[in-house]
Amino acid sequence: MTTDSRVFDEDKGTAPSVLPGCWQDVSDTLGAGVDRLILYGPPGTGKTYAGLTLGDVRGGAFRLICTEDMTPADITGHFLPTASGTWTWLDGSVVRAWKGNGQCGGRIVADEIDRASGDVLSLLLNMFDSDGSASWQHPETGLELRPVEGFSVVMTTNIEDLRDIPQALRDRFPIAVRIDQPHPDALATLPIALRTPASVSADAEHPRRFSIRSFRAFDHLQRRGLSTERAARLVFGPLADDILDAIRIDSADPLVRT
Amino acid sequence: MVPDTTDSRPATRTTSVRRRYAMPEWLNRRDREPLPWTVSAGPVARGEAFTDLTTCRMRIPLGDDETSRCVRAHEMMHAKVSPLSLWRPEGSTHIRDDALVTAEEFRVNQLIKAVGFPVDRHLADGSEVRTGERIGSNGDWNAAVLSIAATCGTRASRGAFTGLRRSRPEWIPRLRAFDRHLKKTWARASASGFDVVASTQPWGEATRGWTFTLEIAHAIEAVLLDPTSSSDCAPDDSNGLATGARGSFARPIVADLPLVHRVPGRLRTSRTAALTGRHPRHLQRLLTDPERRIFERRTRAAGGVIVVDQSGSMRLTDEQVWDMLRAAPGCTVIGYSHEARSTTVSNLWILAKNGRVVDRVPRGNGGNGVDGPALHWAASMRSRHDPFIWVCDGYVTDAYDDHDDALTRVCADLVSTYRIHQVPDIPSAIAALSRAARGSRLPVQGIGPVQAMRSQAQHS
Repeated sequence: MTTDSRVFDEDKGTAPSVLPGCWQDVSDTLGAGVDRLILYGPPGTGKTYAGLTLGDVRGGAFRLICTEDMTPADITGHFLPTASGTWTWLDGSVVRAWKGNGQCGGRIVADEIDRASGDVLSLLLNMFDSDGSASWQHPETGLELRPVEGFSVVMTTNIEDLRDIPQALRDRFPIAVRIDQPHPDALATLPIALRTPASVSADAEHPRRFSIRSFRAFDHLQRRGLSTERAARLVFGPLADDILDAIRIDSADPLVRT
Repeated sequence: MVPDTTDSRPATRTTSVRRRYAMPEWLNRRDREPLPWTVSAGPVARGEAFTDLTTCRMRIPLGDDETSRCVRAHEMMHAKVSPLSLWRPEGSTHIRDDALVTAEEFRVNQLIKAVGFPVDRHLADGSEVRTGERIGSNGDWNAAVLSIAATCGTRASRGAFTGLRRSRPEWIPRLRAFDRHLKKTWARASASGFDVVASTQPWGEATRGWTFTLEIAHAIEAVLLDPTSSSDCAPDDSNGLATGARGSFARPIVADLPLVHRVPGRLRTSRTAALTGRHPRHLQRLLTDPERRIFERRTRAAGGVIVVDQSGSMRLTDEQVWDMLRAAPGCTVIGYSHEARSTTVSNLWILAKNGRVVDRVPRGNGGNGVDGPALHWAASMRSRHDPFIWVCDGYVTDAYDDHDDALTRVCADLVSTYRIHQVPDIPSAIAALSRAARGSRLPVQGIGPVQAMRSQAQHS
């Protein structure tokens, strides 16, 4: 269970004391047992990580990365040849999430749903339907499968306008939360001076937008002994001069030196 | 990561215009939560760039040059340290908004200079000289003070001083002293680091760093004129010396003499661009002047100031004064002589102005007494590059007509400040006028005790 809103103390070198609004929304939604949720917003803010870990994931968490080339087999499953010359059935991500651990349904995290092709989206309409409506017949056994109680879906996407998602699919997700900054737990892994930039830059305007991954790489290179300038040039490329100027200005504040 | 070159460049171009950005998201503050910023592009001109801390908006130039970089740094430092409002704690409520805003400009400029931005070489937009001239011409002392404080330590400061010197040279010593005072205050405050001056630790409705801004604002407020005052002049140190008491100049009492006669001719040489000539001196006008006036011709113009000491020690005759008036067509000629201990007798008068002269030269009153005020008054009538001649033997006296070293030193300073050419008698003045009429620039020089004071000051 990671839906806690742990309070971090800046003086102890951890995260801000109040959970940011977007993460509080996620925490409250999943904590209340809502089982269909869309997380959208800029990349690198931890939407997928949150889907895989936050809320009740006792039944396991499964990831489905949508692409244009993805087929329904990735969702429901497919036959696979074996060494003995026979065929065996391999469940797809969503079916595995439906089954969960047997007692409790699992969590499926569908990334980049806006990239899925038409037939995949049609199938997902069924698979992500409400628990009473969703069903699927196993091609090998002929059994009709339904999601085990506790099955949940977190859909993530980088699109800003949710009208780009098909209306019927969107309708299956009553709540959508825009994630505009990294989770405080993720920020806590950075030095104090980089937390504010990492927090705000995730949702900054182009070209000032950087994900937390850039900050982690920047911090990592410095910890490995590279100078600030060298690390900035490697990570931020042609914007390094502007970032170095900003760091120079920020160095006037004693906060950075402590 | 995004390439920072422009996307729409022609394929044949081999160079690209590099755009730079400000990164306010990278700035940490203790007094507020991090917020997203909106940054837009603007020109490199005074007043165009801004930082709005309330709505988190910033406009900055995106050029790759050092001036644009300094402007960006300036706005970024505002985003870093400036408070959201002009908060005044108890004891500072009398400080006006202008002084607070200017003091914050000063703090920000010093901070970006201290962290390594070359503001002393690049933070200027080229408008400072003209602005300084305009402020001086308008006699706006408060604007001059605010301008000097806001640009202190930057390249813009030089331009501001240059412009002010052209229009109000008498303000320069006081503004220089004020400039030095601000720099010393910064040096003292930042001697042990920026822990206080740049701190964003909450303090009242502002930050701890705001305490330094308030200190500077107090210093600015102290030299500003009362906004309710009708005076448009700087508080003048010389006025403090012209009290009429022993050891000070007499109060100037101006006699309004009718200027009834015309004196034909003009003394000052003026250069004007011309279409014809032998030596092209303004080749740039081929590009800038629609009439392509690349040559130059010299014309005569009214101008020049002459101050004549008519005290008894000068032993001037009326004929000598008339000779000089005839040799100085178009000049402003001022005579002065004070009657010792008097507070009613006129001691300052205009003998010639705008090509007209008096009907009768007034006789002197025996003493000097008003040397300093006469020079100040004459300087206020002078235009840029006008010759300034002071006919005086150098024996400066007070209101009691006693020689006074301190007053002599004041006059020696004025000689340097106003670039005065002092001569001991009328023939020397006529010779100097003759040289000025030929286009020569008259050297700055003193006579007798005044020159001795100047030499002493230079050696010390």
